Amino acid sequence: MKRVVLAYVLLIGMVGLSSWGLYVLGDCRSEMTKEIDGLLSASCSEDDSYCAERARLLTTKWIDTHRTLCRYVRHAQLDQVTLAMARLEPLAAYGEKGEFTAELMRCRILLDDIWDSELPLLRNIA
Amino acid sequence: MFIVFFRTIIIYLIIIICIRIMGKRQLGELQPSEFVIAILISNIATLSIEDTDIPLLGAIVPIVTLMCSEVILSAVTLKNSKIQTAVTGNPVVVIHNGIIDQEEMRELRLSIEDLMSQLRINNVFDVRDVAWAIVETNGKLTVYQKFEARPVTAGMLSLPAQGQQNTPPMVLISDGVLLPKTLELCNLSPKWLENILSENSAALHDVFLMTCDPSAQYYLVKKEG
Repeated sequence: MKRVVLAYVLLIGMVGLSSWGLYVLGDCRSEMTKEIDGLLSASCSEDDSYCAERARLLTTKWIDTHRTLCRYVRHAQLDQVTLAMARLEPLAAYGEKGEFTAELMRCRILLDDIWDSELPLLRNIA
Repeated sequence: MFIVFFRTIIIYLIIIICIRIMGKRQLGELQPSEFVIAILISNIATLSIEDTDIPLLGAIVPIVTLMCSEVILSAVTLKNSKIQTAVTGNPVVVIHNGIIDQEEMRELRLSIEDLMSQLRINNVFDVRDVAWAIVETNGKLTVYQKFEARPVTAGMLSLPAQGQQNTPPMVLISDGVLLPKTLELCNLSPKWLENILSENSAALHDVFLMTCDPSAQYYLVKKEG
């Protein structure tokens, strides 16, 4: 009987752990999305050096986020975002506005895609 | 490479803990659901050890979930015979009074060679000697021989039991280490052991193996060299 109780406790623990993973992912995604959106609007109005500085800060923030998320999400998905993030600062610094915006959008869509694929919905489970 | 090393150790420990929680049922003959669990766990473990792209939690969650499901399912099947039948199936009689049930054999896709092999494993060489042969839910064949073919037992011959013959000799000292539980099980005292050791001019650490039974019969082997 003790084993059955332990099994129930562990099962609840696994559900809790999965929910926690989803919560962390959601939290990181909304924070990053907010930053990316801010940078997207700044890219229209601010100068290149300001955008480059913000892009550098965004990349640093992503590195921290990556460390957290790699406990819950397949690394390949996160690496795609990292690759896109790595291009942001030079693109902003050397005035490639169009490509800079495209990379920002790419990061945003990749993050949305990661979030979408982790949701426990029938379309993801099936 | 260290990543793989540490992941292997962690997964190994988790599987050991899971198998211990699942209990001894897992270690003997596997029921269908247990067989499925064993295959799944081994596959998940292999994948997560080899592929460092998968987070460790991505292996721990499914392994622990499978273990919990198995424990809960086995507890449920204990209480509900319908679920038990659905999960493990029913034993099937394939031979009754020496007559093979060919219909059941076809149903089980059990060949004559398989059946004869299983009978031989059960020390039966003639189908006519079989009263009942039952294919258990774990796939093993259980054979109950006809009375005239059964080996003679002490009970059939009404032989009197002499002493404590139902208890086999148990290990009391193993490589110089005393197992006090054996003394307790055999109702023997430490004083008795002391006397035996002094009779044999041996100290505890000199003994390689000592077995005893409740009738105080013992067998002692001293260490060599």
